[in-house]
Amino acid sequence: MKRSTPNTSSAADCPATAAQCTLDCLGKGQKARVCQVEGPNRCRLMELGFTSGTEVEISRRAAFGGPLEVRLRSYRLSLRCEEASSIRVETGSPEFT
Amino acid sequence: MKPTGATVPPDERAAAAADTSRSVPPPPDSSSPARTRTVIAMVGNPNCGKTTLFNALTGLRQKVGNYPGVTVERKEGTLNTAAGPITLIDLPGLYSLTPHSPDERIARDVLLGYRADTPRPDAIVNVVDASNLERNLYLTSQLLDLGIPVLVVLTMNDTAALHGMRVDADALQEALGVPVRAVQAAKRRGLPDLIETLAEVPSQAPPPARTWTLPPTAEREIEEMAGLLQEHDGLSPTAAFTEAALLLGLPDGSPLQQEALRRWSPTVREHIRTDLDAFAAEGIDLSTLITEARYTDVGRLVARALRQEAAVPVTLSDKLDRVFLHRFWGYVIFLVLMATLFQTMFTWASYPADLIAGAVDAAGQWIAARMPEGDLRDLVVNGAVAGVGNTVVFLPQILLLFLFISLLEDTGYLARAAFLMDRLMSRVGLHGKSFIPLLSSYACAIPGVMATRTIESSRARLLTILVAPLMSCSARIPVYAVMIGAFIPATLVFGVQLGGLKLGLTLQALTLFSMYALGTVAAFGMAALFNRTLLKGDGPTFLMEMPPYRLPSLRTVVLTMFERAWLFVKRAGTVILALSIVLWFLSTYPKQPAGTPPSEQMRQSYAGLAGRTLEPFIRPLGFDWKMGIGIISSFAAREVFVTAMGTIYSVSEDAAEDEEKLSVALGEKMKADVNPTTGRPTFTPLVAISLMVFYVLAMQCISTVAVVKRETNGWKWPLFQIAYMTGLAWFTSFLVYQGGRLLGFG
Repeated sequence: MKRSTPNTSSAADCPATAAQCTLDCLGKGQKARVCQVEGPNRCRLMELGFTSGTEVEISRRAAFGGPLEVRLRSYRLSLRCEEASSIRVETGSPEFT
Repeated sequence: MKPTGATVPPDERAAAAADTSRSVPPPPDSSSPARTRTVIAMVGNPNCGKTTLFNALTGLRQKVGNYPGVTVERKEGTLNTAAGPITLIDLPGLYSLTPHSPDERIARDVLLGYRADTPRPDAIVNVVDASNLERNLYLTSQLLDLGIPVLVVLTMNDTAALHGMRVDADALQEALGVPVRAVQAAKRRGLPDLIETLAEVPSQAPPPARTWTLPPTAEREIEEMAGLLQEHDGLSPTAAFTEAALLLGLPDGSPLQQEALRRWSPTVREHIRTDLDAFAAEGIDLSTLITEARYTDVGRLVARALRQEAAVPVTLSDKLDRVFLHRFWGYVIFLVLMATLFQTMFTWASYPADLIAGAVDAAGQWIAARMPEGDLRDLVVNGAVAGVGNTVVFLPQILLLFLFISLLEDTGYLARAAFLMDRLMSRVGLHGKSFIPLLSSYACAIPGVMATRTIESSRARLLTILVAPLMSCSARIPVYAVMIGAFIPATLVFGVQLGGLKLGLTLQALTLFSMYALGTVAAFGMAALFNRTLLKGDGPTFLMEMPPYRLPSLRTVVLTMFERAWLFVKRAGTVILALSIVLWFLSTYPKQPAGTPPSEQMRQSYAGLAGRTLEPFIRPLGFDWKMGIGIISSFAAREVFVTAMGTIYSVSEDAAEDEEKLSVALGEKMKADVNPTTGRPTFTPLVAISLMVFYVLAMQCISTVAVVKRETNGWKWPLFQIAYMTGLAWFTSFLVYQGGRLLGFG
């Protein structure tokens, strides 16, 4: 009964023209807006506030490729790069440049 | 398929949801007076200040235990109000009603009335962190749908002020339609008003109709599903809506969804399958829609209740983290802190530990003087009192460790330590939070295993428990001391010798260091192995909130420390008492005629018989039956090896009184021991190393076995642990001894 994750309606929330990447590609201090979350932790990440359109900022990266610290919805969450790579964000919006 | 046995039948649940003001149905075990009282559950996100508030409300009128079948702490307390006593249940922290950890599952099951052992609460106190309003209100949004009266308590208002935020409790109350109270629990501000409101909450009307909305097609789907649940599973309208919204909010195809579907009738299951497929064909994911709809509604609430200053000030937490999480200094500070913690556990704990050991001795003598000589006296003094004493001696270390851990947890530093260490730990499948349990296992594996409770991922927690006893604990030190003192020369490996003074590293110190290194390498190696084989699966997720730094509440820290210590005493006490008596029996019977020397008595006892039976198996490691007895008696505690060997080698009574004299005298006797058949010495440096390696790796501690059994809920994992550690110890000692002989040592 296991099926692939269906396309979500939120994919349409990011303009096709915007510059997109995954959260783990961002450097310290960079801001972006969430487009879509995939992967096994999708449900939990969304409940923690990574819904489409949410503004996020990388506030810290641990040494040796360790976890990232993200600021969103006025709190701080740390997550590993693997988990961050399942979050697609857009950085192209003029307010982030 | 009907719901499984452990859950409350849906019709009962429906009744409970339909009429929330009535008292809880009588439970199967009605001995607890709490069951007839009003029950209020305290619910909130982790780190929201819920425990501090719970302690402030209930004080010492608390009962701490476990939920049956899981190692999730269960806390219940009594609050006296004008309307009479109320039972408060402090549920484990949770982010949502979709559980991702054992803690969250328990909290959800209690709130939905799935657990037979805990009554469904009559009302909910939802603790909301004002400095993290948006995410906390997501859970509130789900709680309001349960059809149970809710009271929202705002905590951390001072932290919010530091962030330039202020939450207007009145505006929030108006927007939510349920009472909202602000408190400062640590300073007891706002508590009388809160208690007054609390007493009235259970008789209040359930929260108003939900305010979050979905697109029309999705709305219709929830209503249709709720209708089916009413019709086929007998749920009340409120319960049916709650369950339908939760069910459709689960990610499609996930194990969580499959588990939830098993709860309901086949019609519901088939229907949901068809409908979700239809939605998926149009590219719509209902769970996403529902989560987003709730957050949109939360946004509306936040806009009404939160006053945010234009410029967000840089807080003290931010400044502290620039140092504590610095890519270089962060690690330096962490290492210094851990070294201090470790050192303190050794030095501070030794004074009370000596006092306890003295008191146990005195108690034994006191009893011995008052009982007639004979087997019963021997059993009580040498079996029960000495056996339990061997465990209680660890209590100071356990108290100290838990004092440090609750301080680290409550200040918020534990999350920082996990952040720093996660990279290293994740390589072998462990979690950033595995570090402190493993480190404290250098002192003693028992508090180490208990400290794994801070790890949310059950897989990473089990992995940590499995390897923690490999870290070289302090009970192994007496064994190393005897063996190294007698058989390893104090020659300089490098350094200079100035007269009688040696500056540098001696072979003795290097050997001791190697034993610690071996244990550590083995722990990480086995973790990596289990991670790839036995516990294979998706790596544990690491989604950890970074709470702001806080001054810990002394009350909470001290309470937590004593609660955990008491759990240990209760737990370890029973099993250890029983096993100590068994070990005493094995080394005392069958009795030899009076006048037999103690060493001969030991040889002829069941333990001696076991040692001699064991000999063929341990001969390839270089051990004889005497060491076999030592290994067997070490199961009481590893340091018992020294006492047991002392008995076998008949080290004189007066030397045995002083541990230092004992180990020197014992060393001399061991060196002089010659194997009667081969004429060669029984002990050589190679045998000594092989024996130490065995002690590093083997599971020889019934106290640890007892604690692992408790923490993993059954015999499966402790037995597995005994098996793999003994196997590992045997093979490594075999390689060391046989390899050493091939190379011409010993």
